[in-house]
Amino acid sequence: MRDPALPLADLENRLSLPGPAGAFPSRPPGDPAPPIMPPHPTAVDPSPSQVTVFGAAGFIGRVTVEELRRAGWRVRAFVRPSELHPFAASPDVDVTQGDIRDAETVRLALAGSVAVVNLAGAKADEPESEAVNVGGARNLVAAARAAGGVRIVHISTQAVKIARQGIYARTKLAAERVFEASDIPVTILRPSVVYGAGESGVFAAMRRAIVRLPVVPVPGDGRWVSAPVHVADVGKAIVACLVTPATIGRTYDLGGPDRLSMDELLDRMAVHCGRRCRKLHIPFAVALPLARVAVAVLPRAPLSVSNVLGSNQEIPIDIGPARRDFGFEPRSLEEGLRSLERESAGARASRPISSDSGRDVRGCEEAAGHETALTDEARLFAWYLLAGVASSGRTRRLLRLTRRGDAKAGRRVLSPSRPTEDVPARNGVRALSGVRRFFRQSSVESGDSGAFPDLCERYVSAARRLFPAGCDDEVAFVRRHPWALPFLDAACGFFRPRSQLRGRLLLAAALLETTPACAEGFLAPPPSRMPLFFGIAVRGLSSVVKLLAGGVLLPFVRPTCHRIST
Amino acid sequence: MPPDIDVIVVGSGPAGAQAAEALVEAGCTVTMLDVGFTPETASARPLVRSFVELRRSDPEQQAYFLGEDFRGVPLQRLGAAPQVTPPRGHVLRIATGHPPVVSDAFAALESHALGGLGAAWGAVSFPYLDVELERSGLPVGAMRASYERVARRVGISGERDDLQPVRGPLESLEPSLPTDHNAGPLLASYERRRERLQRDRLFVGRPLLAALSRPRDGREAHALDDLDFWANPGDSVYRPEITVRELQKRRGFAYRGGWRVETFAEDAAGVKVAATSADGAVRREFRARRLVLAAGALGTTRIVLSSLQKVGRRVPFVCNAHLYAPAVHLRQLGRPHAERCHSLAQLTMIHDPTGDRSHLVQAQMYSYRSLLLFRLMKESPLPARESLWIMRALAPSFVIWAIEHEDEPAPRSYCVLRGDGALEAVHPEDRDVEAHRREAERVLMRGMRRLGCWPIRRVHSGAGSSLHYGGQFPAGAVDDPLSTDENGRLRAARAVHVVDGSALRYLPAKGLTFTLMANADRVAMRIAAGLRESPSTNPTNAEV
Repeated sequence: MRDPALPLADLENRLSLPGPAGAFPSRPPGDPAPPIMPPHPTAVDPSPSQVTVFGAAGFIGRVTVEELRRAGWRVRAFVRPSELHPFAASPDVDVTQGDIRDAETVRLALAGSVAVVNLAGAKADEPESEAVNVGGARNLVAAARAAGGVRIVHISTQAVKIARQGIYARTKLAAERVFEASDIPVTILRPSVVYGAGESGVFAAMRRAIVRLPVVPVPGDGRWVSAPVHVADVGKAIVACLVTPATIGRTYDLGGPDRLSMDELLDRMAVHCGRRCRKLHIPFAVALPLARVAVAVLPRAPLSVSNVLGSNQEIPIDIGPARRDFGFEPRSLEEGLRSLERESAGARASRPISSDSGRDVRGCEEAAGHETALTDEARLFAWYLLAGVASSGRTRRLLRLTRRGDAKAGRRVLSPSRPTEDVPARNGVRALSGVRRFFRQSSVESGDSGAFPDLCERYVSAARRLFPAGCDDEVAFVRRHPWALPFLDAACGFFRPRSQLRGRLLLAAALLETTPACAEGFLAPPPSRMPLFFGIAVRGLSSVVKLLAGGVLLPFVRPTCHRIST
Repeated sequence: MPPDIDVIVVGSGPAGAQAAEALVEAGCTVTMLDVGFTPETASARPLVRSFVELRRSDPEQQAYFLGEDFRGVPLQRLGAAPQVTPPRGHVLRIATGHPPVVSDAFAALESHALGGLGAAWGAVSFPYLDVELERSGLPVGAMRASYERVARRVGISGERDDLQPVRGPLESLEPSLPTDHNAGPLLASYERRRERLQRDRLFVGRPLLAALSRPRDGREAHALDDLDFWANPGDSVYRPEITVRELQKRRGFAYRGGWRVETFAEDAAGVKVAATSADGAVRREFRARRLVLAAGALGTTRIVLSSLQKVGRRVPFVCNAHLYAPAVHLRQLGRPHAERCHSLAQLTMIHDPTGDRSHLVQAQMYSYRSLLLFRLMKESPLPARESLWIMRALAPSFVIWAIEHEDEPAPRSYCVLRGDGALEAVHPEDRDVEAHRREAERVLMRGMRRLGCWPIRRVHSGAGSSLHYGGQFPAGAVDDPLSTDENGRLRAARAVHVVDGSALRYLPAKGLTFTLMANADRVAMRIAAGLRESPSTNPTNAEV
């Protein structure tokens, strides 16, 4: 146990090694901030200090882990048991599974660490936000106090500043309060819109919308101003805060140097995607109820109430203190967008989206680069099909347990924070939703097959073998417009059962069914009779609706022209 | 100089293996000529885990379930042999240079595998009734003895239940394998409705299966691992390959793999067999005193017609009609799949339309799960996502009834050897016969519904898909050179015997494999007796 009276001195000593020299070389001269290099460069601890990163598998988390490693930290990544993470390939990252809502796993995760980065947060307006954001903060404070003098960098959000808050903003603000009220050395960072490679976050959703939708819906009047900041800059800021004692007890805004309205931002992104962006401004009075319905109905709503609320209220953002205290020097939006383009340049060159016509899509297929298109297709199909088998495990189990009168066990199923008795089936189905989430979230644009390289690779090689002539119009259409997949699937199933789209879906289903991670979804016992009949009726009905929509759509599936500038 | 070898057996399928075993037991020296493809290595690893465990834990299972080249993904229409899963892909592999079987609208499949089509056999083993044996041209008394002998060799498990009068008599029975979650309740349902069903002349019971329910002869009892479509751990299900492997340990038997027999010729010393190596590169001759043809009905037909140079001569051709009726077992809805079960036939329903047991129709019931859901997806008109959910929900209550019809020789059905070496198989549909079959199918389906099993549709997997072919050289008139005598000897030759499907005149709706094995055993006994009587001299033939 460390002496609780000397936390800061101890920290300064321990943190002397991973000084981020050169992390911000462009720090303005004459800045009055204290030097980032710790004052005792000779008192080097031979073993690097350990930092525990909560939410390490997330969008900012992955980049932060990388920045911490680069700065010389030893990283312990805290991930949820069902979560897919990219750290399997990095043996020097110590991966710990747990749930931030479980005080015990949090306490264990802090053992041996001198610092904590808290990126864990329930997104959107999920009901568990309270438990994750506020309860998680309490668990962290308690664990840090027990460990003695652990330094915390907590990542909050600009949304806490707005007057009318959704669940997300409210709970994030409550979490800040928990940290502020504690006696732990905490720095709070409030980033604005964060962008970067990958498919997570609001920014990626916007880019998807630009690329895929003919008209991009914008809540509010589009004049809301934000300061988009690159994810790598956020990661560097976190590392800098860790080693700058002057930041303790303070709260900083993180934003990019450019401030621009929603409309301007969409236009700038559209230029980089080679698209023109038509915007549809949805009045606030319509958007908010829409978002509420979406959140209530969809498991992963594309738009949350907090998004809408946030986009309607002016948030003053000031990155001056961050510049001054830890030399925060974010890259400009132009530079950031260009670096994004570089990262996905190779992948994008082969995207069917950038070809002139559907016929060229097939031409593209024969080109060496069509692997990306096939990988994207594999991910899309996997995500689509897994919906048919990934659900219902938890609800069914719950039903069974409640019927037995075992309400306690029922509650345990509902709250995954309690590690219950080891039921492989349950873990399997949970892991399956993780797999599905993975296929949805991770980068489609970059062609990254991530944690399931095997599945994607096998799909690519099988599709090449089974469909040597390349893809036909329906498949090309689905690649351009993934939203059309359910409808075209329904229409092809009924009108063109031997079509290539159905063949490719069959292939994807075959590969998924013979993947151990998905086995549980396919082997799960059936629902009991009433839910079974109900489920079949619901699916029959949705099939009919999809078929009708698909039947209307099918005649329009032709190779269509695309105006592309890159 | 007479040859050193007593008998050459061509082919390692069920008939060839049993003929060889009977001959070796009788003290003859036997050489088996066979192409003998074996499973490709990667997709044929021995499996000892259960189907569920394999699915949950084996990261390489795709090679197994889908095949290395993804041939297990059924993009085309339902193949002729859905039971030939990727690990058994070698069963339908054909040697280089082998002349094709041509046919319009008929799936004429041959096998060059070790064990022949028997390597993918469903193991259902019903003996023929007396009337069926007579119509097939086989002697009843000798066949009964051979059925029992073969049953003792391969191990047939089954019950003495309501099927007994129609399924054919068999004394040497092992205890039957346990029923699964579908068969158990359906049998109970039959018990309650027996009178009503029997009024429709429907009989339900357990099939006789060539699968062991207790260990014997170095083979294990069935592990109830639900893997029968994919593997055969512990050799619990009989495969001809097991017999060949055992014979190879015995003196007097030689297995010569890699040879494809093309023709035979007779001389004073016995029989000469001309064979080509499987890659088509080398030709050589083998000599023996007797020749047993068990190359599969189509293979034997080709060998006989080319040897006798009967190009253009039509020989009869029979083939069991075959269809699937996928069904949902209503009482099982919402209940889980059995933990331990086998995926062979669970139940048999036999319909006797004429009431005199002379034109039986038979249906076998299989539980579906281990054939994987994605294969069903193709048959569903619903969107893929909805299909998957519904199929998974229905999977434990989903069963397949495989219905088989008898086939009698008809002038319109024939095989003929063409000038280019290809064998042409013609088997057109007959409207009248078809109408009778429909009627029988209707009765069967009514019976299924009475049991609580609702057929969804009828799936015709195409003519020839039963893989039960025969009828070319049956027992026949003395003056027909292309018929066989009571010893299975081809009348056009002195020392050539036919023991596969081509020796049966008529195919009842029974599955011919068990009968082929019994007939091969019977013919082999006669050959052995003949060789004992005249150890040094060559056979004489009064008729030719």
